[in-house]
Amino acid sequence: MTLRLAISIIVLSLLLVVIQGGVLKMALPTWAVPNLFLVVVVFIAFRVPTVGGVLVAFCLGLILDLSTGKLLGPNAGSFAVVCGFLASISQRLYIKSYPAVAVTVFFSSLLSTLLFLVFTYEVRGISGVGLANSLLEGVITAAIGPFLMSLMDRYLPQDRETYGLSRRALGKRL
Amino acid sequence: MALSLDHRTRVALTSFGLFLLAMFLTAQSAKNPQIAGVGGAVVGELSRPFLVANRFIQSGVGGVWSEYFNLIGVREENQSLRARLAVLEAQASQLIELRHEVDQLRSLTSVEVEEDPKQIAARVISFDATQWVEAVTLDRGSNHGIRPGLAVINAAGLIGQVIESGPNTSRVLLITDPVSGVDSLIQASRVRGIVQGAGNEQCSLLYVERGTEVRIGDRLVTSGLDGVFPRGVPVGVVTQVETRPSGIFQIIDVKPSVELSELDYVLVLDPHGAR
Repeated sequence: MTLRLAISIIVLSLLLVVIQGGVLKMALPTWAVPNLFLVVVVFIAFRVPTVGGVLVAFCLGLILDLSTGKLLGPNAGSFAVVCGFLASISQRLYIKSYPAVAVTVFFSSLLSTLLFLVFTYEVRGISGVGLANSLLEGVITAAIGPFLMSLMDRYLPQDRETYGLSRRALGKRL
Repeated sequence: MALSLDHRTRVALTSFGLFLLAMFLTAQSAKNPQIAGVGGAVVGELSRPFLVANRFIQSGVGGVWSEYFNLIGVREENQSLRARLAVLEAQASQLIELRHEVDQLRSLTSVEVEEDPKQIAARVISFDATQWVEAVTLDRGSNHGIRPGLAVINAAGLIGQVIESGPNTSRVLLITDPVSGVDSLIQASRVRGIVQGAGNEQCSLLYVERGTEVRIGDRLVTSGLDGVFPRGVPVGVVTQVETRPSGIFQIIDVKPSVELSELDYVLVLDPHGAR
């Protein structure tokens, strides 16, 4: 991993922490705040479905864990697994429309939540309120995820070939 | 172009390996909280300039709204507040007399008095980026005298406890976080219990036995017995009381006194830096 890429990941993560915790959470109720980190992870899974992409997703989750200052690993591990899973099936996942992308983001959010609970069960237990909030967060994230992904696909440099139909679908259909 | 099986295997193995690494990190950070705490302080320091700027902008926009557009009902609100102020001033006068009487009685019995703690003003600049942790970040840190373990309050009541501090930022665990617990008393009946966070800006009062009278509307204050929070700080109000056929404790819901979703300026109390 080059120094430039490492710095880019750190800057992106800090930007997401500022936007999610400092802008959105201070302006919106907790249940209405989307999980921007997850949207970026899903985007990476389809845009860079390689070992490098999974490592980037892991790093994003690790910095999110660091920002909470409580446990290291839950978000990092769940993002790595979600990214790896989506990357391995990205060729077979034909997301050509907004609903398809939204459903993908929603189920990715559920998977991420499930993995997070596996990591933290011994420490925090499972809260009914937390599960309900996760479901709502998944719906909100799924609603705005496709728009964010289409923006990222349009404005990020496209300097490598990607696999599958997902990139073409995101870039032209949305 | 089809992905090779070898490539997918590499991706899957990488994911699995990182999953195991994350499990290891979780276990280690659970045993040694300072590992994550240091990282949290670093992230807080790096993001502080952006968060402070954002807070400044949000305050400006909010100020324009409140000062130029949100003036409907101001006259009625003003009259209502004046009436309430008159009642509070009368109560304050009675409290001054009671305090005087208590001071006299203490001097007669030689009871030691707690000194008022030092108060450090700070501003909330962000909430936790995840929905699993109920915590906020302040724009003051160890350079301003804030250290882990200090209580955080505002005019309405108890907010939480400082859990980590960097040079210029600190993180406060709110009383609504599920791992937070506050030793509290029902103000009227002096019934004691633990106020534990329940998420979604709610709390629960634990370890109150069945048969103990608890009513909706009862006010809770800190007992001061846990050595963390000073005595008498408003914690919340009882909103629901349920007694089930089995179990020795009642199920009591508590709404915090402080509107935790609208935090702005807060006070951090340092008992060792007495005024």
